[in-house]
Amino acid sequence: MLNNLPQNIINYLVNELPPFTGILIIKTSSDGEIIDYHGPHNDYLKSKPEPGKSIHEYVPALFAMIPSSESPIVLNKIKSGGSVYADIHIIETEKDEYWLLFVDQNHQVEGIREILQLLNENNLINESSGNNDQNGSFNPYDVFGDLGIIVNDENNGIISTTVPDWFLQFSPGFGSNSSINFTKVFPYLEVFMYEAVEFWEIKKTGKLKSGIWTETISDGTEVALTAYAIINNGIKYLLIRPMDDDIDKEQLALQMAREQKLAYEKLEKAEKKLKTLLEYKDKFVSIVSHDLRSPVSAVLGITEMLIHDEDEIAKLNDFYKDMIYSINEEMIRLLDYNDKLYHWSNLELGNFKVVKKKTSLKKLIETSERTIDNKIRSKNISFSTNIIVDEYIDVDSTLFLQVLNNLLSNAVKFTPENGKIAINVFNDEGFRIEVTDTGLGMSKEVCDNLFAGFVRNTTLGTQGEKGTGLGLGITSKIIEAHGFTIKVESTPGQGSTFIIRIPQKE
Amino acid sequence: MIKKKIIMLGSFAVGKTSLIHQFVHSIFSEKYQTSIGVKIDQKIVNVDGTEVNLLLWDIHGQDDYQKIKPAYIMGSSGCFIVIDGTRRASLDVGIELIEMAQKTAPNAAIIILINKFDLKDEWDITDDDIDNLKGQGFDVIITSAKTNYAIDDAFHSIARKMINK
Repeated sequence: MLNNLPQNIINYLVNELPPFTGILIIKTSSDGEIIDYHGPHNDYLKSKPEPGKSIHEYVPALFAMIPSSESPIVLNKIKSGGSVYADIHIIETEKDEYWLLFVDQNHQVEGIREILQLLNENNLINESSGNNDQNGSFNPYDVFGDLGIIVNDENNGIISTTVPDWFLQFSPGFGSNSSINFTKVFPYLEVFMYEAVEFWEIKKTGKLKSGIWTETISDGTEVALTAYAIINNGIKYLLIRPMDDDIDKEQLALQMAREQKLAYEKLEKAEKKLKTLLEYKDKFVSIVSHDLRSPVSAVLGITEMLIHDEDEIAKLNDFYKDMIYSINEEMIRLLDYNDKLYHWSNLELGNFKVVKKKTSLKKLIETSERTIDNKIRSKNISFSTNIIVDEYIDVDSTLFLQVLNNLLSNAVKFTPENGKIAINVFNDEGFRIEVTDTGLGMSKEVCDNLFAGFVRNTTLGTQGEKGTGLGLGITSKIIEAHGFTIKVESTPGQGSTFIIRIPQKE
Repeated sequence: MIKKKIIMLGSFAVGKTSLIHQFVHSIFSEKYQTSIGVKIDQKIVNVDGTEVNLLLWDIHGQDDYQKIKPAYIMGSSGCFIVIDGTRRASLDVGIELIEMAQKTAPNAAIIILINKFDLKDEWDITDDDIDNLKGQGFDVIITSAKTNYAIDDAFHSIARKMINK
């Protein structure tokens, strides 16, 4: 056997174990079936280990430790029928074999005795008496606080391990070898038994892990538990294990994930509520502006009738004439504002459809220029465009014309007399349309909020022209609906350039 | 004494644990503490002169992270489907779980609890939703674990239903 020791076992023997004689080495399968052994078994075991038998018969302390959850694991000071206490090192190899190294603790104690005696005799005595207190009842399950039960039927069994403290606090009166109706003590196990009974029937070896449940012990502390159904050599075991550290980690991760989900749901709900409120607002504005249009148009019509009736207007003195002209001007502005409100709210509600078709850009610019020609002339502004070869773009001509009209009328409004306005078109991965003026220009702060709509405190034009604060918001919405982009570059006192980008068709 | 198993099913954070804490221990905590696994509490109630020991199975919430095993439902005589009135998604999960409960424990008495009545202003669950559930033959009780609203009523109702089945 020694000739066939795997390299990791040799390394472990050389580097990890103290240099004492008397090591017993037992090789088992992953089920704990003895394959081979080497060393003084008499010191450690009550009888000679027979290949083919389960190691658990010789060392009950190894119950449920093979297969082990990690490697190596060391069980300290185990006495299993032999004359000495041993540390048992359990090492798994890559071949799913287990090597059990029994290291004599009596020799170790003897080895350090002289040194300890020299250092502190009292300590030595305490140390020895501490060791002498060991009566062989040490149980590896103490490490985990496991409660082990040998199962008789699906409800009853015998406690086969030392009774851990948590269990005594939870259900006093039980001890090793006590009979236990485990489904009565742990009602959760009723659920696990559905799976466990099936597992015990089908499997010959191995273990099945239950879900997690919690029990409250006498001091009010909650203990999270998990159960293992184990079968070995036809014997059915239940192992009930507290899982404090693991549960904390799992709970923390789950708590964080769920809190995040709750926060996201809240945010989603708030957004939905906000959208609904905005929709109500837009519907309200849409209805009011629609219904205001008729009375406003009627008043405007009356003032225009008066203005154009030369006989009637001639009867009025200058004061009343001015009043009529003012009413007319304000009604035109009110109607324009009302129309924009109506348009804006419908854009926000999505009550419009972009119907794109190939349209001559040159024609659109010329139409827009004609719309504001009077204003351009009245301020003696020079207007230019660089379009020589006509370009065709895919747009909704009515809506896009509104964009050009808004941008041009804005440019005219803020450009002083004798200034310049230009519309230039460039081929730049699609089209880039620039509307440039030599007007008042804007600060960065104004530019940043220009397309938001409902701009408060709008700036007056160079001739005191008032704005609605909606025009560029509408422009931006239309551009967005086309899948284009718009931005502005401006320098206060020098002028502004509005840039529309129409991407190349893919 | 009659012993009956009642299971609490629902999405996460709907208030299953809080309902049991309020009913058994008269405690409510504002802090949300997610449940892992199962916690079983007991309380004896007197229903029309009959003492019933209720075994209350508080089962972790159902979501993408934790799925409820049908085995938890087996052997139960009563089932509360808990829905958070402020979260519509919890209604969908509740409906899924009703199906699971009906399939796994066909004889179990089912009562739907719409919890968090103290947050009524923020409810997503409408009267129409509740009428719809009632129209399908379910008992629906509106509760608040926080204010202890209708909790005794809910547990006594399910106990009565279980006894009369």
